[in-house]
Amino acid sequence: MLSFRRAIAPWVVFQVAIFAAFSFGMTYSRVALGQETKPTSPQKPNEEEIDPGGIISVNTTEVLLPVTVRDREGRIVTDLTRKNFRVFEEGIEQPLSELSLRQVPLDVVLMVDASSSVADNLDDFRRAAEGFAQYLASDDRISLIQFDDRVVLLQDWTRNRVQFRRSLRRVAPGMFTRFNDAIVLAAREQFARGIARRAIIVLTDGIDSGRGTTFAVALRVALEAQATVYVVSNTEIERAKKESELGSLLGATTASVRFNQIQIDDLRMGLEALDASEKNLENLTNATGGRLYRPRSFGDLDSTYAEVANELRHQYALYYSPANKTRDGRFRRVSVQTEPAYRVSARIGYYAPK
Amino acid sequence: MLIRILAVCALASVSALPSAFAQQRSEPLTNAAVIKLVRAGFKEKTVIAVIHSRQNRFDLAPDRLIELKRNGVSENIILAMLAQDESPIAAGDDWGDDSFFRGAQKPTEEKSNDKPQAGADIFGSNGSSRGQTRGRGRSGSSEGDTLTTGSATVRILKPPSEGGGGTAKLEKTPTLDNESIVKLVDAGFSEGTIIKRIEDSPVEFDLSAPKLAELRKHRVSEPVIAAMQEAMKDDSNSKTSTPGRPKEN
Repeated sequence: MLSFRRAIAPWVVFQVAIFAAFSFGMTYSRVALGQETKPTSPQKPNEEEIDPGGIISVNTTEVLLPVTVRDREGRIVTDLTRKNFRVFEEGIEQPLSELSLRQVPLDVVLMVDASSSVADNLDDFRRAAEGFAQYLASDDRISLIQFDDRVVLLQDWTRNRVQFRRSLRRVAPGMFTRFNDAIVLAAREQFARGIARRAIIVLTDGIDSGRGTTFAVALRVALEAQATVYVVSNTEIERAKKESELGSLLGATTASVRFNQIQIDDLRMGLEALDASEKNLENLTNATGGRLYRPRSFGDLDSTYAEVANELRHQYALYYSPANKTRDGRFRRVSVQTEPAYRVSARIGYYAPK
Repeated sequence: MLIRILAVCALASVSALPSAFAQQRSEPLTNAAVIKLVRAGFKEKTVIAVIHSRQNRFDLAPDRLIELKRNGVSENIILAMLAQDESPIAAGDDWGDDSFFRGAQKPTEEKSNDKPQAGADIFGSNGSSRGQTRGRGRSGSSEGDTLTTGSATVRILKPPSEGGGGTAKLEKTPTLDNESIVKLVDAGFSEGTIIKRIEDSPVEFDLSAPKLAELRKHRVSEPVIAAMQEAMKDDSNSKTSTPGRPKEN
């Protein structure tokens, strides 16, 4: 009896694996085919029942590249097909199959820097975040992280708008900014599993006061997690405040300028820190295929988050099977080309599995 | 000789006291520390004052709340911990007698180069202050006397880069489910405390008919059940799928 069990067990496991792979393939084929004939299908009950975290191992050979295409005026281009794209890995063109463009649900981590630079405007963030959630499709998931001197997951993955709205109430003002730590933790822990497109949207000035984790590490981990990072930066708002304050201090009498020298130096250093931070944020968003938004006031957050949502909704999910299948854990540089008149935003590459 | 050695030892231990105390003060308050204070016989008001004046790393998962209660921590203290956990840097002084200053103070959090807003506020610091100014003067006259009394506590908070913030970890807000509510009820928490916890937590309740019956069987009150239902209201079904995404090839 025991030997029979030993003999039969691998066969059963094999059958289950085949069935799982087949079901997964059918699900996606259905999604793909369904979209051609019925682009706004309201319900996908089969997908609702599938835990995205449970099926990651099925399709590890493919690379998913979320791609946004804009025209010269910056408008998002939405009518491209597979034939309009060419993908290069380390300079070598990669073949694109019939199923290279698919519809993929979105997992988005919304992050908020609750330090002093944003703390007074958390209500603006709450309103904008709530508006953003309205744009998500029913199969998309959202989670919420607040960071200051701590990094706190206020809401784990949910598709429930009420739970998300409730979690926004838990955002509380804090102090300091563990920005790099927050990116690392969000990318590593929230994107440890799953097959969806992955996005991080973070409201911050990006000036890190954390301990040890460098920007380079944060960028690497974001790339490892294949997350697209969008930053809604309040650097422009901070800069305007500081410049105005500096202007009024420098416009005073010589004696007053001398008296306020420490504050003047402090403001100048603050402006330099904002410039340096913006460069980092630009690098992070460009490398991960996201975008840096710099609203001029907190009142603009609604429209900014709506713009991010619009970009995510119109992102192409481009799949390809890399010709180089070596599992060496190395970084592979990738580029995407389309019509010359258009500008492409995509991740600069990926880390091969080990 | 022995007397001299003893004297040196005594001197060394006395001189070490302030630094040990300062080190303890800079460490965040934990559940265990609150239990210690309660067991040491501190009054409720004093423990709450300590909770309000210190940074904390409370673990307020339902099981930990029950543990606190079983260790004799009163519900008022637990509520203070819950409130402090929501706004860890807030400098409130709810127990004060002076109604003018009560509730008037906003939490003040400043980065190094931001301007101060209220209270005693220096670089990397946040504190609470209470004061009172009485003036007596005659209109149209320069005569009069002013009496200013006040007290201030300043808490020095170092940035994580200086303050030994330790390795960062993703802190997860505990999710409440049916079982955790039953545990809170069994532990004797009041309806108000449980409802507040529901309002402030991520939740994952099963409110099907059999589960509701089970909750009632475990003496979960109707207002608590109503709060659970309110927290689970779901509007996600009203949303349609995937509008405006690019077509597949």
